[in-house]
Amino acid sequence: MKLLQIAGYLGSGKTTLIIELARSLSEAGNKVAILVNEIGEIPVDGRVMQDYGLTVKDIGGGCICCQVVGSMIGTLKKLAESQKPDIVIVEPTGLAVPGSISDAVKRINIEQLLIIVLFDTSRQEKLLNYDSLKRLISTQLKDADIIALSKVDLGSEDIVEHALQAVSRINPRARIIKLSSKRGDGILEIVKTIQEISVKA
Amino acid sequence: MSKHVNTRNPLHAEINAYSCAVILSSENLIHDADLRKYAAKLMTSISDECMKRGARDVGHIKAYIEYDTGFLFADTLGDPSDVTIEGRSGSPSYSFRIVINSVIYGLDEDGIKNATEGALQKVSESSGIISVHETKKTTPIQVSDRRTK
Repeated sequence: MKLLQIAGYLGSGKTTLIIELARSLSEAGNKVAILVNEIGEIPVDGRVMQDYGLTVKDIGGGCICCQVVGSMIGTLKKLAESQKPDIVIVEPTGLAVPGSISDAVKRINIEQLLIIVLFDTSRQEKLLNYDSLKRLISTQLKDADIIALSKVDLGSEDIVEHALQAVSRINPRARIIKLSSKRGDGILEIVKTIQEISVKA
Repeated sequence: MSKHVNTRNPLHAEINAYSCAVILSSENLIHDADLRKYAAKLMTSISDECMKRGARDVGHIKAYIEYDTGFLFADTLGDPSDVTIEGRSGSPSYSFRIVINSVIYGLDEDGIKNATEGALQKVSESSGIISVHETKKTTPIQVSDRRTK
């Protein structure tokens, strides 16, 4: 079982990307399970994914990066034993720090494929300039292997380029992919990257 | 007493949340199109109420509606033009269940609670929804704190 983390701030498009990725990875012959952690005791995202026919486990009661790490570990272990998926896609809350989740997962020897962090280009001014928000967003981006610039269809080329430059400065080692769920941009590139790494691993 | 998300993680400063689940009903059959309009109005209204109460930004407001054989998912990031409604149409129904999660930047939990419940009340009344039966109301962070102590 290999773990793929799809992180990013609230409303950045994580759920939409996961639905598309899970479908593509399943069609390519992978058994995929999804672990969703949401702010709010009553899950919404997990229900939406289930309605799209995906196998989903919800973790409520707090953020898996800092509040309910134990629940995440327990759920991952159970998933590995009961469903034996090839890939588990983890959707943390929009406030989660991917590196903290990664550290916790390392302790139970689950192989990690990638950390993909979404960055909403249409809200870049707020995300990069509001004081306390900026700290959270920068921390999330620094942990990414891939930064997916989401909603690129909503802005001009200049706006997208500005976002690209900004996130590159925060995390120069991450691969950057432009993503538009509306137009379908970037999905194939992400799926190909996951498959390449998955085969190598 | 309200507690903030940042009681455990300083990176969560100024971000708070409120969620609730309620069953709503009407004397008239409610069609999928009515529910879509209702959900869109509700998203915009919660967002407006939060901003009026001093929120700095809408993190994410989302709702899941289930009725008969259908479901709807609605969400907004605050701009009225960006309300998204998706789902599968079902047969008209006299009642439906709605789950709302409001995550807001720069407003305390009581403010989010009042904004969410106020908007729910207002939009329901204006849409001819006559009864509200609360099934579950949570303050997520208090729950998590209790579990982790």
